[in-house]
Amino acid sequence: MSSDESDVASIKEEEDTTLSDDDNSDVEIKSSKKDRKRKIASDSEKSGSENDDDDEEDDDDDEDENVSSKKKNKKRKKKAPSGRDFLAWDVEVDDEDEDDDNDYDDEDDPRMNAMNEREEAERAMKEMEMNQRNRDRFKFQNMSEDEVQKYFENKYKADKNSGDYDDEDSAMDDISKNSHLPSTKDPNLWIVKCRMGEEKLVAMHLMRKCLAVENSNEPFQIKSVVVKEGLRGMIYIEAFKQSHVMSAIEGFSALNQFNITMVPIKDMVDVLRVVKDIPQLKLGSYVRLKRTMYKDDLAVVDLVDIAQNRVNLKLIPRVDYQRRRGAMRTEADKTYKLKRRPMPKLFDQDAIKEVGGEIVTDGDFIMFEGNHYRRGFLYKYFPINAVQADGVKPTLGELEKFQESSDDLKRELETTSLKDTENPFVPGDIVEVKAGELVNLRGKVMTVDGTKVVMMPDQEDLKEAITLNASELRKYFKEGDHAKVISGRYEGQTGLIVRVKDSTAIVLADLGMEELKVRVRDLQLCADVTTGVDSLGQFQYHDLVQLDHTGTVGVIIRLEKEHLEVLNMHGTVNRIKPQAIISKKDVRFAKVLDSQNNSVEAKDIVRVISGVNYKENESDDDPVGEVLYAFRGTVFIYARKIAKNGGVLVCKPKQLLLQGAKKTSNAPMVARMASPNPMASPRHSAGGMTPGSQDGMSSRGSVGGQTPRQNQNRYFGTANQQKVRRDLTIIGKNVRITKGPMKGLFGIVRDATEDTVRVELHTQCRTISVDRARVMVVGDTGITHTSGGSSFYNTAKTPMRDSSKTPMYGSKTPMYGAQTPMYGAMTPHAGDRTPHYSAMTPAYDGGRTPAYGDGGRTPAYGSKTPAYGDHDEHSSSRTPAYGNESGRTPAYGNESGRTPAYGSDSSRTPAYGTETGRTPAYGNESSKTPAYGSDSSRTPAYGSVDSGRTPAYDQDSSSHPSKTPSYDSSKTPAYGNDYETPMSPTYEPEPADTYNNAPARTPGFDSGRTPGYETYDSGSPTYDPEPAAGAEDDIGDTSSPRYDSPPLSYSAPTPGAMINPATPGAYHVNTPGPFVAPMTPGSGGGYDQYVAPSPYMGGGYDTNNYSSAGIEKIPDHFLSQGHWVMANLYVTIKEHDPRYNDREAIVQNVENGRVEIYVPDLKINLEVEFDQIQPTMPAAGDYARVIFGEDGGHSGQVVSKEGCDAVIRSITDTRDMRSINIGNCCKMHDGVS
Amino acid sequence: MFFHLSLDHEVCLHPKYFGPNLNETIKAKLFNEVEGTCTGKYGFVIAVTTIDTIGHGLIQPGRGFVIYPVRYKAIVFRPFKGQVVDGVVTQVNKVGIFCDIGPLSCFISRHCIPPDMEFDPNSEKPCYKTNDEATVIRNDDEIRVKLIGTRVDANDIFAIGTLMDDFLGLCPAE
Repeated sequence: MSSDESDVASIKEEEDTTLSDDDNSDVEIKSSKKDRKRKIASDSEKSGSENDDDDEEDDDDDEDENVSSKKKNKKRKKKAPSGRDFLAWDVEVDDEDEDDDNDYDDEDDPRMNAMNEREEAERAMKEMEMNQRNRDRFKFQNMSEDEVQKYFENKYKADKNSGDYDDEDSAMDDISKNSHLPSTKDPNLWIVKCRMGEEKLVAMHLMRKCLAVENSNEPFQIKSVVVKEGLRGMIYIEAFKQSHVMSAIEGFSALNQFNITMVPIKDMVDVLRVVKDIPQLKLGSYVRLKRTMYKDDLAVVDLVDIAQNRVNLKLIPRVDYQRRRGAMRTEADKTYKLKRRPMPKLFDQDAIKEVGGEIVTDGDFIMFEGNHYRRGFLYKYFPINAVQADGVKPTLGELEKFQESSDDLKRELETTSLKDTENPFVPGDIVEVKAGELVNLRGKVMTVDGTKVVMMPDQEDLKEAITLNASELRKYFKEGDHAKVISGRYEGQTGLIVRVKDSTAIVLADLGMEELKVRVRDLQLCADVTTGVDSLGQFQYHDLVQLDHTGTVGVIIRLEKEHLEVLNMHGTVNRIKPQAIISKKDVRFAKVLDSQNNSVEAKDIVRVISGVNYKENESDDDPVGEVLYAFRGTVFIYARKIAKNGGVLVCKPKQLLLQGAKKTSNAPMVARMASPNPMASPRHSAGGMTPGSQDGMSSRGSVGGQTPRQNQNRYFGTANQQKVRRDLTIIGKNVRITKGPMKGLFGIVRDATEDTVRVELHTQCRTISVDRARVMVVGDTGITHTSGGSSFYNTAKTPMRDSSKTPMYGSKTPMYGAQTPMYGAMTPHAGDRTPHYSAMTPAYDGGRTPAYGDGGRTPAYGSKTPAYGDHDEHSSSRTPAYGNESGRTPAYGNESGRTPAYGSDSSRTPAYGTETGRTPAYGNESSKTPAYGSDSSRTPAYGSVDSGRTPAYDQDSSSHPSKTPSYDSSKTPAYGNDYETPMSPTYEPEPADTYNNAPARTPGFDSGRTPGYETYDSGSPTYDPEPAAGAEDDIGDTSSPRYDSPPLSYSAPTPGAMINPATPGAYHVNTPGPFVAPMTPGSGGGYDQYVAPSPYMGGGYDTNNYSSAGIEKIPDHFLSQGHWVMANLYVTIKEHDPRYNDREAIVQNVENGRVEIYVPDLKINLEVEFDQIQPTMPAAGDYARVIFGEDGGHSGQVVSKEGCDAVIRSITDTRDMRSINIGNCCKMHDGVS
Repeated sequence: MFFHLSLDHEVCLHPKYFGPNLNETIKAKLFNEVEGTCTGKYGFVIAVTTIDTIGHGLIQPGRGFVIYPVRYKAIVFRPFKGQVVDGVVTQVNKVGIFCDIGPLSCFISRHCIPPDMEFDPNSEKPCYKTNDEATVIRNDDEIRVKLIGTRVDANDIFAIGTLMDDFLGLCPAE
């Protein structure tokens, strides 16, 4: 109540004899206690019956009463006003705590009781009641039983006597209230504008003036002046007429005489209704500060000093521990200005002493710089208006800071739990009464109305609903209840309540097995079992998301209201907003290899066998979980039994072991990949395949003896087709459209699958989709071949170069460099094969390498020679041009930096060296295989291929596996031959082209490296074409000086550091599976296994055999499927024993994926596979069959050949002449098809 | 709590099984499909005791599969709140104890373990034990738990339990 006194001050004009009606006001007591006592006496005597009306009624409505009293006053203007009575600190508050006030009064005024007693004894009942003022209840305190009985007897006797009176009394309530309302006969309220801030002052002045003029001729005619607290810029004056107001305020400069407005009668009540706006500051309640350094800090009310309008708060001090004080102070400290307010921290005595602060103890408190501290908290007085008490919602974290002991927290939580939210209850809640008579009564909320809650008690005897204040209730939960968090950090989560402690509950979340600490009032019983928050916007629990642009990804392990928790690939948990996520990742099909080289992909069950996530204790089981995602070198696993991070683990593939059925062999995976492929020919799934793939994977040594090696490639090639994949090998190339309405147009390939390419036309500004068969790559076609060939040659030749014998050799060096990537691209493959080499006869091996053979054979190959010449200029001098390029490619620079090993390598052949430098598999291999055994074995192999054409060479190589200079030199002539013979000018003119080519190849190279990764495409752009070229050059450069360096560092090139993050071993292991996958499309497929790793060679194939532009290329996959093969067709043998390679043969029979052929040259029958043969192009006069394209199946005699088109006359119908692209034709043995 | 209930199930059979052993196949398939499963309503189906009827099969149009309605009796295990059960500890960590009650997995939060038992991560097997080591709960121990809540999903039931009551906790080895 005490705060009410300032609410309204009204100055009354006339004497208010019944002022004491409202003796609740302690102000009144303060102002005129004696006076009141006197008045009470007189009141009871004089205005007996009149006052009875009010007596029985509780003074629950002060306002009405006040109005009524005013009214009455007007009727009886008897006494002259005295100044003393002017102050009517009358209080009108819509207040709930009337009872308190009554209590207060009763206790405070024992004289009243004494008086009543006396009266009761001496006077009649009626008289007594008049004086009583509805405090009968408390009267009995001082009575004996008899007295009470007597009292009641009297009372009801009296009541009977005056029955009519009784009725009146009961009806009094409404009537009296309404009659107290102002009517038209009452004075009006006038609003007078006032200078801001001077409202109260003006009111006082008015009162003085009133006193001054009351005895003059013109006394004030206004009735009262009202200043409303908090209402600035206006006062109310009660008067009958505006002129009365005018005259009263005349001469007040602070009041605006000309702007006086009347308050409508119906609004008058509202004017004086006082809404309590100063909050009740209860001890222990939480407030926030509005000002000072502690703005927005949470504080606990420790003491409220209303008189001084201040409150003592307990809060966490913000003390600057940096500033030195006392003796330690320096000049700088005097001018020291705090830039940012110090962080809140419990008071630290030691830290203060360190900076020289003096601490004094004051009883329980510690004094420092005038502030009191106790147990680390600051206790300080703040003005009440600097404190915000409404709507303070302390967070749990803040509360915990204030927690000195659990008791404290308990108490605080209790006091705050319901203060901030108005009414947290909804019908159906189970609640418990926490205060009042019904404490601990439980019940169910039936209805909620504002702050009132109707509750049905959970007691058999209580059958009626009880209405209670929301503040008297708290939610009640039992352990085991399933609840939902309805607000706060965990909003939306559901879980089982494990424990309810005071005002907090511990909830075991349904998702992720973690325990949430939640305030009880934030919980709601959740009848239906929901899965909790499992999605937030587009994100879901356990989604793989990309976190930044550097490729960090993570798995969402928790969704909160506005935040996500993401476990990233490094094993740390980030709490981020959904907006911070760059994208969701889809890597469903990615695979990695576990520690035993099992292929692991999403949904596999794995066991963690090492690493940080390994079991902590020996006795534990290894963590086992399901693979959520395999992403690059990271595997996300969901292990149900692990509570941390919602059970999500991050592991490296090498820390895992696939659970269960899958054997170490890769076959199951292969089968899985292969089976759905409708295109796969039966033999793919045959058992014969498996060894091949296995070999590729792990046991390289056994490869040598086995033929199925090729299957492996083909195999993967076909497996690949099951999914449409982007074919990177052709993207970015210049192509010409060779068929259809757009025939003849040039364009750049923007996107490609196996079957179609998206071509951006040069001529028209559009991008069209074209069948793969209808485009032809222009510009760089021959080079692929050459590169293969040339690098090969390089190996053989290098010593030569080293000895720098002829300018010509020197001239080649850059070329080697330039070519190397190509070779690199192949290397993984080579890696697979190496043992093969060693195991087999070199000749055989060489014979199988079509690329190689092609290179040797084709004019394209020769066509490069001039280019060499071109390069020559640069290279021999190591010109800046190269330097530039190398400067452009830091990545490659790195590699070359690593080349010591490579250098050692290069002791044989720089080209070779570069390969190893780049290709992990290769390096790996070579480091494994004894010395150069593999190498040396290889060299002859190459030689042998060559030998097909240049016997001398062959001889040399076989006889000089040691690569002596003599060997090299002996080779040289042969070499020279090679270059010279096929020389063609096409390539020559543009050295720049070489670069183009090199870049163009680079992707292939990359692809060779980064096999299984889905990000394959994204990765490749980073390998800028030019850098590649530069790098090569670089390597070429660095290599030569180190040429003689000992081979010990041969294995040093850590391929893992290269673009491919995998370690060499890993890389190698990868090779068979994923490696093939991205590459195969477009590659030679069955046609040419060597080509398989680097599609470019496949590309080269056409140009090779059908070297003139315009001849259509039959897609490799078509060729490899073998549907075109039929008896009587002429085919050329590929990839077979060197004896047979490139020989023409006639198909005898086709059966089960095997083709029986007859080689006329050797007069033998052979069995080959589809990918070992390719169609032979017919010449004029030959019989031919169209094996591909629109006219597929047509056969006849080639009448003439014009450019790339052959005119074929049907045998059966000689009038049927068709012009068909020769590329789609296959020579036939005779006209019978 | 265990119940012996009469339940229904539909067995979907491939036409290749239509032959002399049809009934056996249906039974085998029923056992296969039903035993060990969990329904939110009835709990875990422990074992099929009898097969009452095998109804007339209905050929599925366009597929050739036949669906047989089967009525069978099975013993089911349905945990209830407040039930006291024995379980085997499967995992002990700082958040609490996980135990298996037959097919039902149950979690006993640290808050539901008597406060005098503390988690000891350093012992050979992590365990909860009293200060005097009179009671030690570790992996593979048998404990008696009171279920204080169950979360019933469509095909799984999860329970949380407490040890904070009389006669709960480690079962004395017999």
